[in-house]
Amino acid sequence: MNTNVHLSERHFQSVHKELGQLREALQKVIVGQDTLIDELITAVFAGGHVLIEGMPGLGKTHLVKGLAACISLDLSRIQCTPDLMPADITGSEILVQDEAGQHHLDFRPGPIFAPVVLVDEINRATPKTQAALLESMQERQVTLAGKRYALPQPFWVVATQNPIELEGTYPLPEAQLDRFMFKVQVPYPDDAALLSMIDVSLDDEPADHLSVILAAQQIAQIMDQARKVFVADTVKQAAVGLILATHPERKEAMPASRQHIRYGSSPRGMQALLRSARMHALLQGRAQVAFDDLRSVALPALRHRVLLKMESEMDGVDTDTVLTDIISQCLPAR
Amino acid sequence: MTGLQQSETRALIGAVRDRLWLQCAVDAGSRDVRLAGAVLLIGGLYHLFVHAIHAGPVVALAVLPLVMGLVVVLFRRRPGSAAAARTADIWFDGKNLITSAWELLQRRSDHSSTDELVVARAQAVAAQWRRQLASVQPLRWPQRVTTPLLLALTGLLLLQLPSKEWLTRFKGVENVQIGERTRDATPRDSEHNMEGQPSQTLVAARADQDALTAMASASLHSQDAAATATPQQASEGGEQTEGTQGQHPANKTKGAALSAMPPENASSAAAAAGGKQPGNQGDIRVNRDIRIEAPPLAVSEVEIQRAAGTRGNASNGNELGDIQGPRAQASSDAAIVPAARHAETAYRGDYTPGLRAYMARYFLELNTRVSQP
Repeated sequence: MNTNVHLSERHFQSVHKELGQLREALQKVIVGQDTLIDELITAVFAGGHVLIEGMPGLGKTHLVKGLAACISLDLSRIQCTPDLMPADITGSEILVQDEAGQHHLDFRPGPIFAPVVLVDEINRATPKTQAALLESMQERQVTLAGKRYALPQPFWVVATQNPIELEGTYPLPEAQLDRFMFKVQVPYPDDAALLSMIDVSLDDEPADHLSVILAAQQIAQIMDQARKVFVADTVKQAAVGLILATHPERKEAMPASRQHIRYGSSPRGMQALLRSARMHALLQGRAQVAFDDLRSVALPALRHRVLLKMESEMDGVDTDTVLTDIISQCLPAR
Repeated sequence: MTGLQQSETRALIGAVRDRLWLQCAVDAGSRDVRLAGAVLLIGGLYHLFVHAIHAGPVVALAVLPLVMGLVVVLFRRRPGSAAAARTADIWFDGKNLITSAWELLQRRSDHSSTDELVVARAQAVAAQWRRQLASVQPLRWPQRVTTPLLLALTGLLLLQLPSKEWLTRFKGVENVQIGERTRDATPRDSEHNMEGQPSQTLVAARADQDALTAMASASLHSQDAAATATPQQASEGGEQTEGTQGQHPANKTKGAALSAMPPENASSAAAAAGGKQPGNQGDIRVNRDIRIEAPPLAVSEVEIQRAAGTRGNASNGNELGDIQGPRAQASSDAAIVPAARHAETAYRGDYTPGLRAYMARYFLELNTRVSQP
């Protein structure tokens, strides 16, 4: 083994160890949600934004606060309401007077200018406000009065929404949903997790006691390392096949797609699939992407990118059920 | 990327490839052996019951798809290296390590440190996995080959058996050969057959059995006086006659002759007439065919008449086997006379011309042999 390989091996081991520590720290904050934690780490270190959907009180906000505490990044929180304006997010120019008595407009950045932005209950914001997030999330910049303001690196938007309280809400349009790399769902914890939760967080807030595990430089290294994970041609072909299989009009479409799906995943979904698969492989300590990685990230990466037929929705067909069927048929067996 | 790394990974992929190839050949062979078994069985049944066929073409027909299938597998269905690499990952749960390493080895461009790491990791596990190949993924032998193999063996066995048509033809040829043999037989053999087993000579003459039985009855009637001369001896002769009921009338004639013998000679003669002589079983088979294929004897009616009138001047009792001495000669005469008379009667009787001619020839020859010195 030559020197480069040796160094690379050590670097991979180091990254894997750091990610393991981060995972363990978050598992102390959110008990019994290992899959949720893995998906959150995968998405954010792959450079994507995450939409967390779950019932109130399951620890969504808590998880994001814990993540921000562990990685020593500033966390900015936006509580969305119907009267929230775009300028409340992006910031605005205000008229200020300098020492010479001259008046000029000065830009006051909004809460979007933070590495980690927690947008709580995003579906309660109006479409106009939601649209203000579009450019920020995709372009990683804010344009105001003809001026562009770059957002910090890394820049992660973690939004939450409540799936049941739909009155007075504005469901996110498909274009904005597509900006999120993952849409993760928070399942209800089992009895063992609830018992552990009593011991951990009955009288205390575990997120307040988290220590910094990853510095900004380490985060950049991890994200850079994730981009170097090798993706074999067979894995790429499998990802393409999976994306095409969600399109009912394509010849590669699966029977479930033709029966239930109205619109399939976008190419951005394929990019999200492979980027998150690379990060998932790194999280598992591998230097190459496996089909298992695709299988693990396919559901959160695609569930918000396919649109079911009206008839299927009225029949109570779940997007996850359809996608699980397609994934099991498209991706090779172990 | 060292040559050793490449060689280890390539060796594993090559081993998996050969293993897949072999499995493919085994699967193809197990599939074709069913067809071969069916062909052999059908060929064997056809050979046995319909028409005789040689085993060679049937075996060739059965083996041909087997060989062709294997040839196709050997030359057309060899798995590719990429498929072998993917299979290795599946078998050893390699998480695409071998597949990724194989693709990196195929690329000629510069590799990053991560790429080299992938190849190095693959090399580290390739040698171990290659050693574990036989245990992790043993060759899957087909489960349902026993029945096709048994069918094939049964078909081969049936092909080795003589067919029905062949048996019939063979029987005809055998009869002709036996007929020729009988024609060329020495007088000694003829005497033996005629004297040793006169009753068994016509055992298989089923077509004429009823006629022969009637003839025997007539012969017995003609010997009533002799049979009643010595009741005890006649009893012995009667038993012999009963034991050979339905057989040749000559046997009964001999029984009647025995009844005229003294007791000491009659017992030995009865033993001789009862088939105690060696070679009797073989004579049964031969003589059965004599009825069918026996060459016609050149016997004229004049000779038959003369034989019927001859009282027999045979002086050598040795020709009768156990009957010896003057008393034996007398008994042989007693045996000949009713036979000749019976032949004469039969000739003039109501029997079919063929049966009459045959009986005439038979008794003529019998008398001739007995009367010869």
